[in-house]
Parts: sequence; C-alpha cells; structure tokens
Amino acid sequence: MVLRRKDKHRYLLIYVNDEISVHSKEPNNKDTPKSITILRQRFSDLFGSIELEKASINIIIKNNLCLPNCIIIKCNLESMENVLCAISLSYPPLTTLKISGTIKKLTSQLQFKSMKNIIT
Amino acid sequence: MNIIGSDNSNEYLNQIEHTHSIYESFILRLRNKPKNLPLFKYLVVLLESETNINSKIPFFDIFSMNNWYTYKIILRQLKKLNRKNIGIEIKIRHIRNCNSYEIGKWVKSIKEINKFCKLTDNQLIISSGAETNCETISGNTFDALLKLFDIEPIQYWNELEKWIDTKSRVYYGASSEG
Repeated sequence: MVLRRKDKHRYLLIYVNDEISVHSKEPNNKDTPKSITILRQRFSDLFGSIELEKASINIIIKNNLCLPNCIIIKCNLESMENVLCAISLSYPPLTTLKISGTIKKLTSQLQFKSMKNIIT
Repeated sequence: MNIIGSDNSNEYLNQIEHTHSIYESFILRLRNKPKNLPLFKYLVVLLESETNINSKIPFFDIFSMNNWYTYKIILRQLKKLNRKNIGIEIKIRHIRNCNSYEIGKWVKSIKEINKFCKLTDNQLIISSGAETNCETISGNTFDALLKLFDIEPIQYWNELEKWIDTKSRVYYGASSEG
C-alpha cells in the first residue's frame, strides 16, 4: 500500500452577496475577506473546530475575477459535502457557482483581469 | 429534474405566447385555486404563518413550514386532518437566517418530518426559497444538504418528480381544465 503524499482538494467558485462584498475585510485579520470568516464560523459552529481544520478552507483568488463579487476557495475533497452545507447555510448568503479539481478548469470559462492578488 | 417553482405568478399569467416552450418546466405557486390561468402548471401553497390547521382548511397541495419549534404541533394537526399526498415544504432560506443552535434543531425536525411523510404517504419538499439570485442553491449543494438530513438524494429527487407529476395540473382557460 502506497501512502498518498497530498490530500486531494476541490476549488469552488463562490458568489458573495453584496451585503458582504468581497472587498470588506475583518478588522482583526486584514488579509481575510469577511465572506471567508463567515463561512469558517458557520462551518465551525455546525461541524466543530476539528472538522474545520480537516477541511482546510482557504481563499485562493479574490477581487480579480471578471465576475464581480466572486471568490475562489480551496477545500479538502473529503470535507466537500460539509463545506457545501456550510456555504448554503451561511448568512448573509453565499452561492456555489462551480466546483472543480483544478483552478485551470475552474477558470477556463472566466477571463482574469490580473493574477496579482493570489494568496497561498 | 429541471423544474422551477415561482411565487411571483402575476408576471407569467399574461404571457401565453412567449411561454409555451417553457411551461413544462415551470410551476406557479399560488395561494388559492385559480379561476383563470394560462398554460402553466400550478400548486396551491399554504403558509404556516397565515393558517390555522383545522377541518375547515381550504384545498392545498403544499404546506410551507417556517418554524422548527412548531413542527410537532403541525405534524399532529396534519395527521388529524388526514389528507394524503400533500407536500410539506421547508425553505433553506428560513434555516439560513438562524443561528447554529437553531440549524441543529431544524436538521432534527426535518428528519422527523421526513419520517412522518414516509409513514403518511406525503412528500417532503426542501426548497431554496430564494428571493434573490444569491440565495439560489446548486444541485450538488442540495444533495449535500439532503445527506445532512439523512435523505438519500437520488431517491428523494425521484419521489419528488413523481409527486410533482401527479399533483401539478394545467389550466388552459377559465372554462376548460386540462
């Protein structure tokens, strides 16, 4: 049996409601958009902090998509269903537009204005 | 299943010429039985907030619930009413506005409502309840939510499709019913 080195991930294109614009940031952590904080908080409340860590929800691209108010997040494949539940139960609402295994596929139909603000 | 239900009926009632091609996948959600409707399927929806369930309750297809803490009373009243093949609807929009404690309560109540529906030949309907674009919910997400409620997605969609087929009627005009 061979150990797989990397966990599989999925990339999600998420539409952020105007109420929590992509640009608004948390006062404590200026790099994290409010939408991600809301999502993480909901996930943690629903499934617990251990599951939240396992899900490793991270923002990949923000602000520079042609689609306004959209962000791309990355999460662990095994936690996908929980992440989708947390997204659909977030308030103010977040909407999953597209899911893919690679950023290339996800963004193939979108035109990027710039790729400057990539957060790893 | 490619069907959309809409509460906003006024917009569609007078658009017969433009909507022939889509009427199959469009269902109007009406508050009362219509007297005059163009080529659209419809279902009569009764809201929990506007109704007391008793023997004089008017005709309805769907009973829409909006509180988790009243579900036991509602189920008891619906059981007493003894109407078969009705839909009990829960909107994700109502759940989304709650805090996490209340979401937990909703999940438990949905499981109970699903059991009740299975036992009494009724249909559980989970809908987005979206009033804006950003409140809509994708198919994948719906499946994930169904699994959270311990409902098998494929079975649920098949049953819902059958239920809609049997329930939704088409009105061709004031005089004749199709």
